[in-house]
Amino acid sequence: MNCEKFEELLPLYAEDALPGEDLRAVEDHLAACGACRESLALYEELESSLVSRRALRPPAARTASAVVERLGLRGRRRSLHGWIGAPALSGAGFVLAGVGMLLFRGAVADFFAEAGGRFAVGYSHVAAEGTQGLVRAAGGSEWVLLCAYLGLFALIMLTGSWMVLKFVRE
Amino acid sequence: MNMEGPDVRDETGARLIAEARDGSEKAFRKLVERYHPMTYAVVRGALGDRWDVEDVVQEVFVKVFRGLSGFRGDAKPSTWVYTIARNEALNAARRRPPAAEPLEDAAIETPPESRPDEQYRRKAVRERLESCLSELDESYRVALELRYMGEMSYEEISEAMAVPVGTVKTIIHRAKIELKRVMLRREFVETYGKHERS
Repeated sequence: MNCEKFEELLPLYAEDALPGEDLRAVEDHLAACGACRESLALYEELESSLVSRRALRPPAARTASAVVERLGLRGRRRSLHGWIGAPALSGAGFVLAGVGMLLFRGAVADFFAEAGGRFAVGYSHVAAEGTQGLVRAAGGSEWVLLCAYLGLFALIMLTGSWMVLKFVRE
Repeated sequence: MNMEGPDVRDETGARLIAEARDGSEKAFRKLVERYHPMTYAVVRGALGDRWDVEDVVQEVFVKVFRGLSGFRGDAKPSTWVYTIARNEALNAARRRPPAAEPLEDAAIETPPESRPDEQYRRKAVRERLESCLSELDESYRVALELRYMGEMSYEEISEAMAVPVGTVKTIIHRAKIELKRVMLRREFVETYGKHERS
């Protein structure tokens, strides 16, 4: 092979990508040809310079953070709509049901007493007694009890909403 | 991105796209990190060093995010991102003119043991290389950037560009020969110019 043909193989040699047969032929030729050795030196210089340019590339994680920031995906303030999702609505339903039961506890107890067996009667009795106990603990004010009841449910539902939204986003 | 071995069909990319579409910020971050080397290489190859490459790269991923719902899997994820990157680079080139001078790159870390004259030589070689790269045909430049800046295998480049592996190998091979020619011509002109002036 003449130098022109070897010239074609030198970039592959510099990249360590020559198959065995060609590799031996190129090495034999290089041992005897100064011009091709010079040419190879340039290809090797090119190879190492091209590889070293990788350091110009910014870290991928930094770009990812910048893009997430640019899209407003991180730390985005949830609108009120974000909180009034299905969990919050079902929470409001529970609150209303609780308030209804509290206000009409007598009728509820009568209903359970009439419609249910011993278990239902026992349950309504316990519920009525429990509520009365809580009213006493709240200083006799049903409104204090109502506010506490609402506050507790609101807290539970907001926590639930937050957990569901977090799960969905993750 | 390393798709050699079992993930040549880029199933990881497809999974990350699906998860990111379902609202996972974590998956989207991983998606950006997976295709960042390729995207940076494509944009750099198409634009050179006179544009704010990183800014265009970020814009590419903003487009990727907005296009998540439209990705149907007809193309491979790497091909999809590659196409967005290429279009965005061309748009960037149309939108604004290049800077008069090459923009400053992040400093390349030199080995601590290297002497100042060695560091100077490396810097000079790199600057000359950047200048010679800018003279190459765009297809050569992009292929070289994907291979070296993007650290991609021939198979990965073939997947992304949707061309046969043999074509990729030929393009890169020719690009190196052409790059060497440009460098020698520059050297000759510089030497000849010096003789002319003296």
